Amino acid sequence: MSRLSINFKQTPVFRPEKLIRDRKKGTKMFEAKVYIVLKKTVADPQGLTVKAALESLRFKEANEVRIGKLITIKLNLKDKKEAKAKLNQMCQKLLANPIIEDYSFQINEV
Amino acid sequence: MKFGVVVFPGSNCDQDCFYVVKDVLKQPVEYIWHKDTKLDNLDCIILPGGFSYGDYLRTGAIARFSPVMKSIADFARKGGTVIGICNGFQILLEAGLLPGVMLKNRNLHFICKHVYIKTQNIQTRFTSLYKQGQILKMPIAHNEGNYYIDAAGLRELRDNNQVVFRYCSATGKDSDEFNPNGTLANIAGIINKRGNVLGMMPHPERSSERELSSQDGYFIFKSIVQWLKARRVW
Repeated sequence: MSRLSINFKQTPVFRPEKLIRDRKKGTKMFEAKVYIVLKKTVADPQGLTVKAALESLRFKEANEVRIGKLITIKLNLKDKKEAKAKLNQMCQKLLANPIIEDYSFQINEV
Repeated sequence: MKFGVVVFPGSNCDQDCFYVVKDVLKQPVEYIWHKDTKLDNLDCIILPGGFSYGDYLRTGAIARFSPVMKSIADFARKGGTVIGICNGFQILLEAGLLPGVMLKNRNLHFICKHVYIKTQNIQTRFTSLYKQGQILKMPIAHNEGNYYIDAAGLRELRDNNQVVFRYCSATGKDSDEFNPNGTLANIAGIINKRGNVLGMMPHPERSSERELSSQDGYFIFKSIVQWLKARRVW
């Protein structure tokens, strides 16, 4: 292609909305919020430290503080059922350590 | 006889392990990149310390899926000798090659100091050169050395004599006072049921020469060499 006939539609510019517009035909875009928390039986020194910090700021109402993780994942799949199945696999295989962590997630279509 | 030291992105104790095997132990050794899957006639694999994958998500959680880990799992299944030090121990736990899990140190600090550990099991290929209950001086340097396993798991470890090293005082007292990180039952190192995979938090490669204030760790490597020599003819 000669330099004089550049097709501007092919200029590589990043457009975030492209992600949703370009999803595969017949699929939906989901956003999942995965919560990873320590099991109730596992001690959480971080949580205790934060509770102490809250108390020192005079928030004596704070009763029990536990710290977990929030992981957001965008998925491009057929339906919510498939998304749920894939997320379960992801959590069990990598995102949570089943010995000490429990997981839960919410899926929304975007 | 050949040793292999695995290098993950973020490993930083690989060179110390390599140096101890090559220049102190005087045995052939090579580096294994985490993407290599061919373990050429290796007799002992060392997973060194460091911060593989930045300890992202959970320490060792991502390194356990490196291509080399499948080969190491096969190697261990066939009875090959594997030693995981610090981050290496954490990777072996995440990979399921050793039971249990590592939590953050209970005081939430990165602890970097010399400690004393007691040798509980001298019947392993790693500890045959120690006396029963021998106290070793070794450095620890970790943020997640708080070993945990459920009650049934702990019972199994004890029944099968899988607890190899426990933190103690300089005179061998193993109370909680000498537990640097909150680890269950002062556990510093364990082996698998079969006895061919060892995981330990203290660094034997940093206590293999008198100049580093302790030579106690050297005998773990020497013990491995002796065990391998007794089983193969070179």
